[in-house]
Amino acid sequence: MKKIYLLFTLALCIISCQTPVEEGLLSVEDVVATLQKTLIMAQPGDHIKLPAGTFEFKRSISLNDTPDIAITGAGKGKTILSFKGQIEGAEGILVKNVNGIRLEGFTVVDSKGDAIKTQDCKNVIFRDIETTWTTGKLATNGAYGLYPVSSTNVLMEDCEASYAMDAGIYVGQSNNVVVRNNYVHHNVAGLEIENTRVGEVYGNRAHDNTAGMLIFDMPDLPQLNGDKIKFYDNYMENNNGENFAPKGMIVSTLPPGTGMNIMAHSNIEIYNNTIKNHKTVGVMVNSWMITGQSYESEGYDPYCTNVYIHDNKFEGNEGVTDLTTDSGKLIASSFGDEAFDIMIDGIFKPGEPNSYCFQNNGDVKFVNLNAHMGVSPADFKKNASRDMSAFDCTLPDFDTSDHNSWLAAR
Amino acid sequence: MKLRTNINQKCLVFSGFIMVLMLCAQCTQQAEVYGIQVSDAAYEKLSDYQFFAGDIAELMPAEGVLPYELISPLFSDYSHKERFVWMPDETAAQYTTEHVLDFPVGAVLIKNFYYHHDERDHAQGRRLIETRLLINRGEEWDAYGYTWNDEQTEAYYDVVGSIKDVSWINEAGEKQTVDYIIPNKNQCKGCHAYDNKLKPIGPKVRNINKDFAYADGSANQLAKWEAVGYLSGYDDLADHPGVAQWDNVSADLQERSMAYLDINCGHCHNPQGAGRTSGMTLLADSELGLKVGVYKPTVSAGAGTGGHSFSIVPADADKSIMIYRMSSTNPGAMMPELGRRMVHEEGVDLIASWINDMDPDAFEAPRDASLN
Repeated sequence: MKKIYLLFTLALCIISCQTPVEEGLLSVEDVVATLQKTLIMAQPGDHIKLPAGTFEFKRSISLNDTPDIAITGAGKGKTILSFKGQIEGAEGILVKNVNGIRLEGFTVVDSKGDAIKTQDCKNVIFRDIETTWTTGKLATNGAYGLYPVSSTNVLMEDCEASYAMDAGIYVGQSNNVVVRNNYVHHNVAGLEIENTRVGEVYGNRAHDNTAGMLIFDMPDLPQLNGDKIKFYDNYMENNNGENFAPKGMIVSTLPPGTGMNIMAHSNIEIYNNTIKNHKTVGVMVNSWMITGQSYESEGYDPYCTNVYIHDNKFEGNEGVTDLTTDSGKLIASSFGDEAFDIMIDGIFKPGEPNSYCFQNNGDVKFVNLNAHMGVSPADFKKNASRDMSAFDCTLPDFDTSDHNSWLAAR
Repeated sequence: MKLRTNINQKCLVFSGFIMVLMLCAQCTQQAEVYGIQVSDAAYEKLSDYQFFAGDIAELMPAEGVLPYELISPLFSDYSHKERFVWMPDETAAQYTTEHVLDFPVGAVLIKNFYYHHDERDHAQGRRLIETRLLINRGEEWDAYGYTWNDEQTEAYYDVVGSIKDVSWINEAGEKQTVDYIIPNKNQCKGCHAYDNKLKPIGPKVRNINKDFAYADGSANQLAKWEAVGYLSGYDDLADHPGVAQWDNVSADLQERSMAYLDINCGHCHNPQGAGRTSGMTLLADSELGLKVGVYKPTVSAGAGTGGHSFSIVPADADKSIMIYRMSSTNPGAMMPELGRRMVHEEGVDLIASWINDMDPDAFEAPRDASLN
């Protein structure tokens, strides 16, 4: 009996040695045919592994509801999911309502809409993921590359996003986010944090986008009033790319040559960043009012409050400023070819006239548009102030450590 | 009645009670009584459920299976749909006008998609493409897709769906073709999610409050459901809401349009739906204004803006993102995102007329964006 058992074990070993199949690994021949089915049939805790190679999909790929799923490839640039021939689906990959999702080590190219979207998820990791469009800067590219929305506990690290016609990385309406060590280039907006509460954004690099990095708060959305974002050790250089977003997108109004833009968001600390070689503006801080667009949500705070910009390196932010967008033309016709390191619209929250502090940023070129007194070039010429002394102050620290315990467990 | 191989198992599951093995001897007998059975796993074949009597392709409902129609249905690439409802013995849906009817656990909605070979002459026959079942499991509903074979003798369970080449002659005598996409199981939830739980979309009081030509005579569907024991809490003397029929040209343009948007968009664009992140609410009773899209700037429309600034520009359909997205077949731009490969020309015409009919002076127009 024992002998038979041994023989059986031996046989099993030989069989398994002859065909070494890693658990969860889809074969190259099977990826296109079986990935979707694998995700539909997945059980909690499953790890789905994709081999190296390029795989062409006609329909979007989706995962719903099943918790604790990992989808990993052989590395970005090695496992490539191509949606060039896509005929259905508003994104390449859609993950919805999943508690515990890790996406790691693959590239998504040429999706017809957004490349990878996670919605209503919790405990989300994007790591070593790349998204791009291979046909260059086209208004028909997808809007977002990496797109977690309405999600809680999001870690995005070591990813690369390019050629999105809105934002390469877009974190929207989420809570507890860490976005670090990513690389964004040739998008309209490199990296955007929107309507998001509590986050740290650090060690990221942005170049050749229209605008490097954005922190926006938009009205009329389910989660309003983004709050508490720390933004440090990022590198923004030469974000002077043409704006190829279709008209109607908020980002289509961004003038090429924008390092950073902060709109209507509150409690922001920006420090130890390098912002260099932008032809229009290094950092723009403005209210929602300046867009001239109405909103309905009563709880929406359209102003930036508590914006603390300190110890950053500004270098070479010089004109000729943009002339391809309305906002660029407005700046150009008000100030000639002069670019600025820090520009604010001067529309403050009533009762809180000075919640902006700018310190230790070197010798910066500053302008306050005082746009509450008018938004024409004549108004700006008359009312703009270059005196930054009113903003020589510090703001208290705020707590963004909510993600620490979650990250420590990973 | 046809014998089925795993009948004991189904019987067990169906009863859902503490059915001990000693009772199993009676299962076959019980199946005879109930006829239709639903287990907690999908059957391999549509015929296994016994929803239809005789030739299955005729879709002749078995006893207890009730056909119904929606006043304004979702557009699905010009396919036709035959809908049926079945509920377990002694159970009924609870009347509510808040959302879809409160169906009992075990209730099944059966939707068959097909194309007439020639819209001008239905006698030339039809091709059944797929049958979708929604089964109320209690905690949430579950969706099961069955794909019809080319011989039209059976439909088989398929979680990943497929792409079918379909062609037909339309009412104008023109040949139409489409790569008809049978959705996968996840995509069902793409439309049917309410608070991330799978739910039916169509059978709301306001969308089934109409007459139907039953085999034994015409009757209001709500009254019929009550008469057969499928609806409780229905007061036949009270007024019940009803949406307009979207293509009834004698009905009010506003009501037709809202009915159309409700069934085609409202399943996502509601405060609990996937489209809520856009801030748009497109339900039959939505107030005409920003939430419906009037002068609403986009959040994440992507290629869907078509170069336009607002979802709806009153009196200017051509500058309205809504019309652009309804007229697009680019997966990255089109609305709805799923379930359509063709443009619903008549639907676009309706919504365009509605937008062009709006009084621009009735809304506050924003000034042009001047600086980001």
